Order: sequence, then structure tokens, then C-alpha cells
Amino acid sequence: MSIKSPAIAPTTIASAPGAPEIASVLVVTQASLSLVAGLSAIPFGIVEPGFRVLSAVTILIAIGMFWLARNLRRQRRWARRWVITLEALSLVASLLLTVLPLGAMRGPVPILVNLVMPAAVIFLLMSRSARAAFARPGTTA
Amino acid sequence: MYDTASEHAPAVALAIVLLVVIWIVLRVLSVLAHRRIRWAVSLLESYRAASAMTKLAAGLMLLSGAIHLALIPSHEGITGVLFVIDGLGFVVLGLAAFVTSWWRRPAVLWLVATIAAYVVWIIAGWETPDQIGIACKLIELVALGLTLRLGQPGRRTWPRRIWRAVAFPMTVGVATLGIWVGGLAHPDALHAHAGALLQPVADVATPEQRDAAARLLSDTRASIARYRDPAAAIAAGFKPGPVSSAEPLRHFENPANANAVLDPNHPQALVYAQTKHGLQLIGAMYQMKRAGQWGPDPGGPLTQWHQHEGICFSPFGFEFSFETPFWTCPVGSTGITTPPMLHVWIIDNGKEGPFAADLDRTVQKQLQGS
Repeated sequence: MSIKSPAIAPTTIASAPGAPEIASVLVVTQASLSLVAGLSAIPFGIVEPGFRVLSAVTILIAIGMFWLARNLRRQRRWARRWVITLEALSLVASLLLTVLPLGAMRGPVPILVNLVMPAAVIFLLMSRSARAAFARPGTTA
Repeated sequence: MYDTASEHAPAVALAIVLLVVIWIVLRVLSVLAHRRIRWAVSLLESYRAASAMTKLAAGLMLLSGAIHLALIPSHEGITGVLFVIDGLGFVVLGLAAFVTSWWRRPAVLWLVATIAAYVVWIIAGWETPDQIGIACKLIELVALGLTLRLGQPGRRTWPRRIWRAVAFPMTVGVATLGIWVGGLAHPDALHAHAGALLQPVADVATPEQRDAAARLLSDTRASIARYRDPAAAIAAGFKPGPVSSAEPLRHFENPANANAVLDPNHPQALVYAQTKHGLQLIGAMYQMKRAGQWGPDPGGPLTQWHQHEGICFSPFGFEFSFETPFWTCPVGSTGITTPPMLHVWIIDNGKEGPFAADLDRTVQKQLQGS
């Protein structure tokens, strides 16, 4: 067992506990899917001007999600708050779309991507182990 | 655009059964360990010592393995053989995660190879992408992401950092694009063009069906003739659809006709073409109320309904793009499936015919140039 010197310890990133680390992997997966959705809308933006804006916004949000995932792994409390907020918004929107007769949720893939993944991220970040991991030093979850 | 193939349905049932089996196995192990049976104690300790990420990655690989094994009967030849190898490989790796220290690298290779093989099969047209297959790839992608994160970071040089950052998103991107390209390049018989699903019908029309189709065309032509002037259509309650530079056809919908079913006197919409001399009436569109509710097809294969699915629709500008195979749309738009519709073209629609889902391209060019 090695003892780290105080000069080295603060620069070393502690390995994140399970829940935040799993949540970060799910957020990276979601970000990758969003990035592809944003990039794939670019050709439509040639003839659909509104999709240029939507495409750019989607790509920016995807980049933001990669950054949030990175900061989840580093156990930043603000990243946890942002991710929970975004996932909750996404989940509520998806639930609304499920109720509306638009055919937005048909089959296992949209349910996994739009309902299960956001719910899983929220569940993981609200879990006891995640609250303990993100708690301020000296406080308990 | 991506349905659930009926022969793939057992995989969903097996996924649920697998969860129950895993729970039972853990309970049995716990009971055996309580009775101090050595191998059970050892296995249970290994399981309990594993991190949450390892447990989830192993669980997802077992799930993928079970799905592959469940799908063997519906896949023949080399694909069936590969499903056996793949399924068994995932089961072995899923169990190895708890009892070995070397499982991670083989698991990464196995997951990447499986995803790559699926993309190759789809692009080559040897497999049609369906929701079970795509859901299975999503499970494998998440398992891959978890397994990659379980690795100890090596030397922190910039090339390694960049590779660690981009490898997983790149894999997701390549898998998505591959499935997309393959699905568009090799649509099945019911997906005549991107985003449209055709009503299943018989191959050949009977003489009675030919007569019925001709009657529907003449009745529709006679009924909508009164709307040649768009102003008359608006006065009758038809609402002009949005103008789009991408779509030279404009649909005028009448909400009051929503409950009518294939009634030539009450079509759900009129279709006008934007020509140099203004709007020209070129047809009517009948539409059912709900997605998946196919309408009556008096002409059999001649009057085949279609519904648009996998469309990313933006309410801001009434514009659209296509959903990715993982059912994601750009922010601000949502994936929709329209209720089934049947177009009746009252002008000569070339080789496509009077009931085609789309206007013939040559005819469309002629209209735009006229």
C-alpha cells in the first residue's frame, strides 16, 4: 500500500464510485446519439432552413453533454444538478409524446433511448451512493 | 421505418426470462453459500466483490448473448452459425467477468467485432435492420462503454487521451450511420421509399379490384373538380398547408372530414402542385385517424395505403428530417408516425400510377417547369 504525498494527492483524480461512473457512460452514449442526430440533420438544412438552427443547437448540446459526463466522473456537484435537470426535462417530454397520438414511441428502441436511459441516469444520480459521492467533504448523504 | 420482425419477438420474452433466471441463480448461490459449499461461497464472493460497472457490463453481455441464442432458429446458414458463436461468447465473457481478471480486453474485442459484423451484414443486405437488432446493438454499445471505462488509464499522453475520448462516440456514430445506410440501401418490400411503410396487400389485383380502383379514381376526379380554384377549397373549409422550398406539393387539409373513410365527397386533403402559373389541383389524399389503422383498399394492390414513419418533425417551421435508427431527432423536433394515407392523382402520374405514394419524378419536374 503506497502513501501519496500531499503535494501529489490533489492532482490525482479519484476513481469515481459505481453510480456516477455508470451514469457518465450512459450520458456519453446519449451525447453520441445526439451528435449523430445533429450531424444527420445538416443535409436537410440545405432545403429546410429551420433545421440548420436545430442541427447546430443539437450538436452544441451533444458537446455540452460530453463535458457534463466528464465532470460527472470528476464528481462535480454542478454537473450532477445539470444532468438531473436535463434528463428530467427529456423524460417529461418523452412521456408527453408517449401520450400524444404521434406514434413517437413504437417498439423497444425508442422506449430504451427516450425513457429507460434518462430514467436510469436520474435513478443512478439520485441513489444513495451517488449522493454520498457528490456530498461536500464533511457532510453525509 | 424500423419495425419489430415477428420472428425476432421471442428475444424480448427471453430477455425478461433472463432477468428472472439471474435472480434465481443468485438466490440459489446464496442458499448454497449459506450451507458453506465451497464453490458457491467462492462464486458469491467474486460476484459481491465485483464493482457495479462490472456487474452491469457482464449483465448486458449476458443479455446480448441470450438474445443471440434466442434468434438462432430464425437465422439460417452462416448467420445462424455466427449467432451460436456470438451468443456463447457473450455468455462466457459475462460469466468470466466475475471469476477472471483477463475478461476485459476480449470483451472489448468481442463487442466491437459483433457491432461491426452487424453493420457489415446490414450494409451487404444479408440482414434487415429491425428494432430487436438495433436494441441489441444499443445494449452492446452501453456494455462497450462500461467495459472501456473499466480499463486502467495508461500513460497520459495526448494521443492516448484523444483516442480514449473519441473511440466510443466514433463507434456509436459508425454503428448508427452503418445501420442507416444499410436500411435505406436495402429496404424490404413494404418500405418502398425512405420513411414510408406500405400496407401489406396481395400481389395481383382481381378484375373486380381493377373496376373498384377505376371507380374510386373517377369518383374522386369528379368530386374534387369543384376545388380547381384554391379559393373554393378554402371557402369549403380546407386549410392550406405550410409553404416549403423543399416540397413543391401543397396539401390543403379539411379537419371537418377527419371521420370520413375513403369517401370521394369528403377527402381529408387536396393536393396542389406549385407551378409557374400558380397552384394546380393534382389530386386528393384520404387519411385514416390513427397510425397503423389501414384503410379499406377496394383496388387491392392497386390502392395500397402507406404511412410515413421515422420522420423528425419540427413544429417551428413545419419542416422535417429523418430519425436515426436509434430513434433520435434534432432538439426541437420529434419523431412522428402519420396515420395511413392514400393519394389519388387525378393527373397522369406516369408509370407510378394514379394511387402511388409519390408523384412520379418526371411528372413533378414537368409541373414545376410548366
